[in-house]
Amino acid sequence: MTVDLIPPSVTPQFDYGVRLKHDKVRERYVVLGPEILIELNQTGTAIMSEIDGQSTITDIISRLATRFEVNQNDITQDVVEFCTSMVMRRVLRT
Amino acid sequence: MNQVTIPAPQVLLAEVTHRCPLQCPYCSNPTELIKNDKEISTTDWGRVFSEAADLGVLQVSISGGEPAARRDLTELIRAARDADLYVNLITSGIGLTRGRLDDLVEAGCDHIQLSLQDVDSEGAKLISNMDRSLERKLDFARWVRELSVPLTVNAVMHRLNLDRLSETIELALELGARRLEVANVQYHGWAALNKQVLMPTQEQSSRTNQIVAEARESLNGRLLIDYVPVDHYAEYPKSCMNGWGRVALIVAPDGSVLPCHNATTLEHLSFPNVRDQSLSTIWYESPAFNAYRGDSWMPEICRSCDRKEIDFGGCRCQALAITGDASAADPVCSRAYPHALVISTDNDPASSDLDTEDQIMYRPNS
Repeated sequence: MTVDLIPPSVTPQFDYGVRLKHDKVRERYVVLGPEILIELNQTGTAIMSEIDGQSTITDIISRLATRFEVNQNDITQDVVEFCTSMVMRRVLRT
Repeated sequence: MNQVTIPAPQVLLAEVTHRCPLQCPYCSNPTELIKNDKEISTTDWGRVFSEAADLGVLQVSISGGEPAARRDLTELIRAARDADLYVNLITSGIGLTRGRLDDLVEAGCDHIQLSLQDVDSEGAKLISNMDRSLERKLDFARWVRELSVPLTVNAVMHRLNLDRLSETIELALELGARRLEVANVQYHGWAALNKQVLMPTQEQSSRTNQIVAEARESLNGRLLIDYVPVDHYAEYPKSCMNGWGRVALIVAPDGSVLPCHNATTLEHLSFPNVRDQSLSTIWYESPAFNAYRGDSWMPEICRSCDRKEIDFGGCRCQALAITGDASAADPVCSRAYPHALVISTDNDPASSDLDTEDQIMYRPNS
């Protein structure tokens, strides 16, 4: 199924009943929600930690680029695709 | 035998009571219910939640029976949240007033799953054996929505309501549910007694597959649809509980700990109790939890099968119920039983002509 990507100008936030949690037993971050348990890798954790309901995806890309010392253009596609998939799974809403 | 690495559990199903105001003939609880006076205390549950969290459990589903039948439900939810668990409440919506729901949400209930018997008032009455049960559920769903708590509608489907599946999907949308479970009755426990009345026809089953596939496509991103097909028409076993003692554990109302909620039918196993042992000892060391882990218990046809990492051998309770041997291949499996379709030959609902209302065996209220 092809999905339209969400525009980087939107401000994502966690959907109702969804939250990020540090899983201390397995030393990782997970997303918990209604029948949702998503194990995050380092990239996923970095992106999800920036979701604050205030920042646009563009803001988030810019902060991640600074933090990991990479070019914004190199990560834009990945971040937008990741956020789109989280919206489709109703982890995030815009 | 290969040494089995035991993963930490992720999910706890807390069956806090077997009491329930409804009398659904497909009740998934065992035929032998645990009585009120055997239920473990609020303090016991608090300890279970905290031990579960330490063990690695991330989500708890508080279920029953009807969990609202316990007066301390608010305290149970608070204790689970204090242990930093994600709290799902699985309810019929009957027996919860608006005020009590407010308290549960304030105590930290993260998500509510509401069971639905039918979109038709008469149909709902026929299954629940309670007047106006549908109307009460609709009120309840509206309150959940007003409180911005995510709602899942769990629609239990069978021969008598499958023809209203499209309307059921419509209703879930109207109620603002984020998820809909289209759950065909699993014929275990009390439900097995009503198989003749409730088992859908092959035609209904195929049509359901089609309706669900279309709705998933057209409602993508609006309503998530989980689908539990009719087991008996499947080609391969389902991954029962995602494998025995792999992901989830169940604590029954009396504190006994089970790998699957019908496991009490496996009478050769003795199930440990949270009153006697820690959850950690029970999960890692008890003979009951280790009985069907890994593949050394499997018959050769399963042990050499490439699907063993997908379905982990399927359902042990069904194997016992139908073949008499709990270690046999799951009777659903077409690889293990290429000729004898053990299940589908014992019931051909399409050809039976039953007076359904007279045939239903209601679950007595405990």
